[in-house]
Amino acid sequence: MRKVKRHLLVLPLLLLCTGAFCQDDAIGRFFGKYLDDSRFTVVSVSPKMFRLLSKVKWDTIPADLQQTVTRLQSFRIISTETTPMVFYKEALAAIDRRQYEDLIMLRSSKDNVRFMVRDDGKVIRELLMIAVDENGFTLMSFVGDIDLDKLSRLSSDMGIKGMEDLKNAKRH
Amino acid sequence: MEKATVIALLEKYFEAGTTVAEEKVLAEYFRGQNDIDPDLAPYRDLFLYFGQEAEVNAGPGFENRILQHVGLSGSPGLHGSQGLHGPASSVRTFRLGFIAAAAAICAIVAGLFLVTPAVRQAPPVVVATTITDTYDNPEQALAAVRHALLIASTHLNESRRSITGLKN
Repeated sequence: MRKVKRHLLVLPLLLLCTGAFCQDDAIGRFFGKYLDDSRFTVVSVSPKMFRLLSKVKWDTIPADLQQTVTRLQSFRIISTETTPMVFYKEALAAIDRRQYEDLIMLRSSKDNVRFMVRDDGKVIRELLMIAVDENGFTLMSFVGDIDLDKLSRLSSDMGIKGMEDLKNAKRH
Repeated sequence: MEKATVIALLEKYFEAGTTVAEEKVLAEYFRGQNDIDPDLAPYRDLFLYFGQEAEVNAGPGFENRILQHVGLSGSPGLHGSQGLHGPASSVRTFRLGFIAAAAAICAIVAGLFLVTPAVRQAPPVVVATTITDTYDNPEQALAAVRHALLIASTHLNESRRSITGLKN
């Protein structure tokens, strides 16, 4: 009888756990799929590295940037110049719409930019940016506690260097 | 015994009016007589059958066989309290356990539905633990994050300026 009871209790727990694990992670699989693909540039910063960032000199870094970075837990970006629209569509198809909500979608003749968020009801926990134009496709993911107003102010605080620095980043 | 007497007793017998003594007389008549009146012959088999079945008994060890069959082997008897309490108690325990398990499942299922919508709509955001760092140097990592934030910020502002579908 004890065995029967144990099994009866374990079953619903297993079902609950299965649901929780299913939430992770289409974006992760997309990154993993192209991690070693020479057509892609991939940059990732783990939670451990974000903890190490406290050792960096922050004197010259604007306050909004400091606050934004210190609230992040992880960061990933993947970009390619090869068949950008193909990978843009693949990335969109990989995103679980039950988890991510469209925040902004900008479509022009030159490019498409989408911002999607995953929140816990109060705080934005993940911000996805998916951008495509004729020159390239970029998908980036910021995980942490994200303040969109602070993020919006960053571009006015900092000088714009563009994406070139990222493209020169060490390939993972 | 005269035929008329036998017939009278038979009629009385089938109307359930015979005494035990009279039934005994009838039985002895049909079992003992070889020259039974042909009119009464059909009743002979009936009384022979009653006689044979009356001799059947349970035989020795009948009670033990029954107790063994119902799983009470070795008990002192049907009225022995110890022999009945164990299995009856286990049956009761099984039923109580089953009810408890069913109640637990109902509670879990009910709990799933009673969880507030806010909690249900807010699955824990899983930080992928499989992220491998591109940089070993925190300064390089910060520079990459800074540039990515800048790009995101720039696109965010551009989008907001020319937005067609802004939520919040």
